[in-house]
Amino acid sequence: MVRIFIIYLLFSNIFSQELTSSVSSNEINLTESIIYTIKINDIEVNPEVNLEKLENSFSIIAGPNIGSEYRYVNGERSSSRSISWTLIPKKQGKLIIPPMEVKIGNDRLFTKEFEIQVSKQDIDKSTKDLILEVKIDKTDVVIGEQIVISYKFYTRIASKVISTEFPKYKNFWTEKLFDPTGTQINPESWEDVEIDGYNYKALKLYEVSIFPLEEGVFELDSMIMKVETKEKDPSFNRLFWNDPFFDTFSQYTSARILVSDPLTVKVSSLKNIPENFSGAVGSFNLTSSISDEKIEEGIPAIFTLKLNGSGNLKNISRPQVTFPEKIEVFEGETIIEKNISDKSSGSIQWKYNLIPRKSGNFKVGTISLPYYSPKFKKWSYALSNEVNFEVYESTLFDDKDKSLVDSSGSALKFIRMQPQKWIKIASNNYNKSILSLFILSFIFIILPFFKNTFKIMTNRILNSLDRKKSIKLAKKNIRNSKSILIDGPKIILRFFYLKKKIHSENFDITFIKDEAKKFLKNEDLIFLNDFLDKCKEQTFSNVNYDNGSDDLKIELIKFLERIDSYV
Amino acid sequence: MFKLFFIIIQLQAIVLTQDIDTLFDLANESYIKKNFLESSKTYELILKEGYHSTDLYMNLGNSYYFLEEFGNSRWSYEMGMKLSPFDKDLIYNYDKLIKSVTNVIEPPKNNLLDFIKIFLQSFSLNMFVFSTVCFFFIFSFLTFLYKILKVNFIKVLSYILLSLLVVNILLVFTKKVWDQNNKFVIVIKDETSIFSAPYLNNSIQSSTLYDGNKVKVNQETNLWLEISTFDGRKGWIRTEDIRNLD
Repeated sequence: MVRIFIIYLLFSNIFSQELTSSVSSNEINLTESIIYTIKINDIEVNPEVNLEKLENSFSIIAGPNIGSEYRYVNGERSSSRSISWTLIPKKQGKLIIPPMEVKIGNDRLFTKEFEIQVSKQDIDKSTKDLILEVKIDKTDVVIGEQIVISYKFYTRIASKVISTEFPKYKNFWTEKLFDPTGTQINPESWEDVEIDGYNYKALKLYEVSIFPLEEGVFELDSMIMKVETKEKDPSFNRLFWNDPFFDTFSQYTSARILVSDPLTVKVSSLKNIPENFSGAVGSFNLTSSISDEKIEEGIPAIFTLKLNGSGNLKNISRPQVTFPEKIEVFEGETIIEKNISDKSSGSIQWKYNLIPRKSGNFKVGTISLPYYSPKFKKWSYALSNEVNFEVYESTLFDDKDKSLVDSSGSALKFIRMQPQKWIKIASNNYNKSILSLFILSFIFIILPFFKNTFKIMTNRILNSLDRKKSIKLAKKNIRNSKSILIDGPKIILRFFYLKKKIHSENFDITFIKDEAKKFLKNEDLIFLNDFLDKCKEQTFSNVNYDNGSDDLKIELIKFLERIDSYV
Repeated sequence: MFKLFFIIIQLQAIVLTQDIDTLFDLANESYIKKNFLESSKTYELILKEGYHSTDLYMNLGNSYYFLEEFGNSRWSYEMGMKLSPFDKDLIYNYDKLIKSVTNVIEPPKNNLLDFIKIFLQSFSLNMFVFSTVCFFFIFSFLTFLYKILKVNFIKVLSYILLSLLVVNILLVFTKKVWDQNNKFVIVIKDETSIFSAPYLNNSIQSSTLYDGNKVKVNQETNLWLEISTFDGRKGWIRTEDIRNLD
């Protein structure tokens, strides 16, 4: 990790720089820290220090701490700046702090190299107030085998955990079994234990399962923990100050750094790996099941393969399963469940969505899943049970649909190919219909209010029709008449009546003559009078005057046609 | 002259429908050959020509499903369900699609609300107005007949029609208000960001929506839509990332 620290100073001119570097101690053990300090005199620009080279050997647990110093000697002012870091060794042996490049503006200065001798941690726990214990269940494993590492903190003085730096396990798949991050640590979380006759309070800090992914020998990082303690000041150990009542005065607070022992794990490769190995290492058993033993053709069912046991469940890939022909298979979800009681065992379920395309009885045979058993140091096989199911013919879909599904090989329900009744999108027909209907309705609504006008108009229309009808009717009656002199007055009366010139058809001949004077021209009136006189004579005589009746009929028709134009 | 004009119009309509049928057949052929990109484009062409049908939406939705364009697929199924709300196959495919949508957020099921939703969504506002005008027409005709014939039975009938007319007018208003408050769109981009204001600025990006999610539109501009999701998030998304369900 690259850590570049930029330190801003107040002034920008460079006068002269002198760089010194130091470490607080050259000989420490694994749990102790050193303070690495760089001091620069007369610095007034922004220095940059890159500590990247340190990362392989040390962990930086505090810093950079910046200090300033100003001195006046015989009226001359001088200043210096110091930057310091607290470092913890990552491994034992001879560790080197290489020369560090310090950039000050455009200038580059270098610190000197330090050699730190790191010895193994003092194992005499009885002399310690604080202990950070690490436990590993095995150190010689094969790829994929589960290793459980747990960290426990013991104390017999009042202490408070300020920070913890959990190790990162490169080349390992990690599953946290216990992680206190975000949980409240209360007095009940601590347990009482006795070590070598001393009473300690113990707290489980962290537990993790790691699964090696590669072959080799790996050194695991240590856990680093910063603790604040309250301890008794020996200078108060006299007279009444020793009384518990005055504890507040006789205690002082200090920060301590605890580092867990480094661990080394040897990982061997798996040998004679079976052909269909899917990565399982541990102890397992396999079961299989189907959601429904009677399935309708074309309707999906779920086939579940469940692997129970303890081991690297999350590292096992989906096994290859051979399903019967005419069954479409789609990979479903994978569900991993951890056992709450021990956290190292659990189950993994692989779901397969099956869509049967043909009716009949089907069988999914025994599935064999090879796994390596670290306990017995050999390969074993988890075998599932056989699963039988029946597919019955679909009642929903016809043959055409089924064949289409087959050809497309899809999970969805069919393509539809029958001729379509196309609907016009956003058709305006509605708008036209709505408008037309509305207008019609409106007319029907307002029509009764114009009843009288409607009546008048109707009468006029009827009258007009009657008038047109009168001449036709008169002509027809004249032609059909056997005696025009007898029928003539009636025909004329009906004609005038239909023409709305008289109020009734039942008047006598004299009345017609009088009424006709009002609307007939003279020549027509003369003809009418002559004709009516002839008719009258016929009425009162036994002599038949109908000899020239055809001529009379023609004359009468001509007369009526003539008066029809103006009456 | 009018007769001739009418015949020409009829012929044109027949020719056009035949073209649409040909397009539909072509799209189906592409579908069977699993050329879903081609089939979806051809089905879309029919929509562009201004014609639609339940089966067209079903096939189009399936094509998009296989192309993993879940947003467009959902749009197609929902449009299909607007035409045929109880089509079992459409509902089946729709349910299957929903399971494939990433981070899908659906409102809880409510039978009564669903029934109202289906009822109101199945008919357009025009259809509601049309039915109202039909009732108005029958009512006015009956009123007219009563004024002329003075038959009591017609009077009773016209009162019944009047009640139906009032109910229908209320339905029109309900539909109008429903449409205004229930405008939904489907996200058709793989991912679209929700912004707290209608500006393309990463600093105001509040969350993300995924392809196939359905959101409610509160207001809209030319380029932006103010939306709210079923889990209560609110914000603005770009109109280019969605497809309208109108």
